[in-house]
Amino acid sequence: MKRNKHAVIIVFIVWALIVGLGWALLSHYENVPGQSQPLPEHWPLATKVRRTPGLPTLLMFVHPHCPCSRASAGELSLIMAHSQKKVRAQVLFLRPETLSEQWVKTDLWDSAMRIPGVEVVMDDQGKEARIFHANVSGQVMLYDARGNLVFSGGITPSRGHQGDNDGRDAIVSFLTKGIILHKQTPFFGCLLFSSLQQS
Amino acid sequence: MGNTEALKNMDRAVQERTKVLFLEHQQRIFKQTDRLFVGLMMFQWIAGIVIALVISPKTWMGPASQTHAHVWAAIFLGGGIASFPVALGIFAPGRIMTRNVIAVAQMLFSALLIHLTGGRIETHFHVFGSLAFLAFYRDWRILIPATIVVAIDHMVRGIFWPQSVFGVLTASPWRWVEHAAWVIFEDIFLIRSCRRSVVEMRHIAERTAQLEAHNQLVDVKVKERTRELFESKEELASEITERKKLKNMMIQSEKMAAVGQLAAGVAHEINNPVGFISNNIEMLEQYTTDYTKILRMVENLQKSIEEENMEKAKSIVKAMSQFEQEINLDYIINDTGKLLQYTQRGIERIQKIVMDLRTFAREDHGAIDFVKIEEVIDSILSIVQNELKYKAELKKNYGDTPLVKCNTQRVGQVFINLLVNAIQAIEKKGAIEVKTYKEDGHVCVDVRDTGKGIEPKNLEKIFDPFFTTKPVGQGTGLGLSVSYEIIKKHGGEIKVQSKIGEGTVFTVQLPVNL
Ligand SMILES: Nc1ncnc2c1ncn2[C@@H]1O[C@H](COP(=O)(O)OP(=O)(O)O)[C@@H](O)[C@H]1O
Ligand SMILES: [Mg+2]
Repeated sequence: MKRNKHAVIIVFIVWALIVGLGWALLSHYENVPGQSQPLPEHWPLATKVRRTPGLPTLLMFVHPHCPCSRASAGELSLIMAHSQKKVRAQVLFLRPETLSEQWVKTDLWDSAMRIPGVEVVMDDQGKEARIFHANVSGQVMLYDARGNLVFSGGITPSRGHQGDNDGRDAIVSFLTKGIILHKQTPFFGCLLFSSLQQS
Repeated sequence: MGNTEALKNMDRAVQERTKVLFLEHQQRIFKQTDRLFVGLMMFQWIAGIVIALVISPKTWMGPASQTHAHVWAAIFLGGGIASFPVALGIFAPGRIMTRNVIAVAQMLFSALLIHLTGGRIETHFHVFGSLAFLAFYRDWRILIPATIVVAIDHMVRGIFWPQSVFGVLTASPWRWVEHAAWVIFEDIFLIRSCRRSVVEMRHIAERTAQLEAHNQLVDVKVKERTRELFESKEELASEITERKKLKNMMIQSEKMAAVGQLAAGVAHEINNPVGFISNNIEMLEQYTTDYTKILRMVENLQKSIEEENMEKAKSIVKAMSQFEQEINLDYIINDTGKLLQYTQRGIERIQKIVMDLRTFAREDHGAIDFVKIEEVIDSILSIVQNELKYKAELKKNYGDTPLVKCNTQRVGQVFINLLVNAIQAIEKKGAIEVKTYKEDGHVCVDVRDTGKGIEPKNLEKIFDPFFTTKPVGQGTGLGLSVSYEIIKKHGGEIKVQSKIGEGTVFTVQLPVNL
């Protein structure tokens, strides 16, 4: 009886350890942000992305199949609910050169199309992503009306998670009050280019 | 003293039983809920895998993809979380350890599912649903580990990956407090409801224990009563057979008593003819001597004539006619015939009385016959006639009645009783009337006397056995009770009407179509 109890407690501890370890691994994976490369502080000349004079520009780079970016799209729709017409927002969907347009038009594409005031653009061969030095799906950049980078990073609290987060707060605060809360937040998601980073 | 002691004992027994019942009930609930959670764990595990496969099957690097970490997490972490509680639920249901591990695992599942769905607000309901589900145990203590797990999940991630839980450092303490506050908010309600159910369970256990005790008591009582009933039933049965015997004896003894009462009258009845018969015989003896003398003279006369002695013959004839004159031969001859006739009648009378007496004193149970009731009454009257004629003038008033089916002997006994009672009620001289008539389906016989009557307070007692107002030796008090029984057996009725100083009428009704 007593020994039995001891055995059960030992099993419990082993179980707790295993579960804790699994949990740690998962959390670690979800919370490792993409590595930020130095971004163009000024609107790059080489880009073909359009700006509207007198309006800030918001860019979001997306891998069309990245499940984590669904959360980012959800957050974007919240931002747009606050600040339509105060910003020109564009979501750039990556289309690798070997793949068709059909590959790009996923449910993520559809949900981006449905966000009011958002332009959805196809980024052939990831040319624009390279120009803006974006490498993770869900990465957002905000340039002010004069083309200065005022914010960059993720707009989810962790990988694939929706919820209140600094990225969203920063963008909304700049667009509605002109105050810069944070210049940068961590970002999470699938990699846009296999060559840049191994997972 | 002994009583209160017993009550105290019973109270203690009920209390102990309450405890046992409560623990049994609680254990049953623990086990049931453990089983429920075993199923739920398996379901959540599979659901987690399905969710991962639907929401985030793959992770991408440019055009290349590989299985998303969520899928692996759902399979291995989910399976890991579920394994231990499921094993405990199956092999050690109802233990404290089991439900605590289940509580922990359930909250871990909440966290996992929230992750797998990408932190959707809706999935956070799983936390609250799980807490409510855990309340099924009705053991508020297991809410503690559950709540701690939620807290630790946030805390640990807050320490190592602060940005993931609380965004960046600024908002962090408030997020944590808010989340915990909501969980505790729910805990408060659940704890209350758990404790209330425990109280209710106690009540139920107590009531059940009381009921059991009561039932036991009732059971014992019922058994006791049943035994008593059984005993009294046997007693009753033996009493009934006893009574039947007694009644038979009573009927017999009453018959004897009635005969006894008649004995005097009967003796007189027999004595009377015997008296005049012996008188007659004395007379006839006298006459016979005279006849003998005359016959002797005739013999001498015959001899003288044969000897041709005429002188002697003449003197014999002279003596003969002188003797005949002396004894009044004509009268004697006449009287002899009469005496013989009376004697004959007297003997017949005695024969009849003896025969009637035999009929009514007989031991046998008697046969059922179709008879005319008047014939039965007449044969009874012939027995009591002598007794009657000194006391009362008899009036017969017979109507036209149909035959009735009855036991002649028994019904005859009834009329002897009624007539003897009537005769005895008349003190000096009176009248007795016997009337028969037909009245709606019944043949009725009224026996009316002009005797002293019955006192009203006695009217309802006279049919009771052994009720008598007559001196010892004369009355037995059985006559009317036996008569009542006999008439009842025949499906009839016997009624009485009486007025003090005026007389009494007994009415016997016998059904015709019996
Ligand atoms: N015809 C009657 N007139 C007055 N009293 C009567 C008459 N018949 C019965 N009783 C009363 O009913 C009593 C019970 O009668 P019964 O049962 O025949 O018993 P018993 O004649 O031996 O007393 C009698 O003692 C008498 O007081
Ligand atoms: Mg009598």
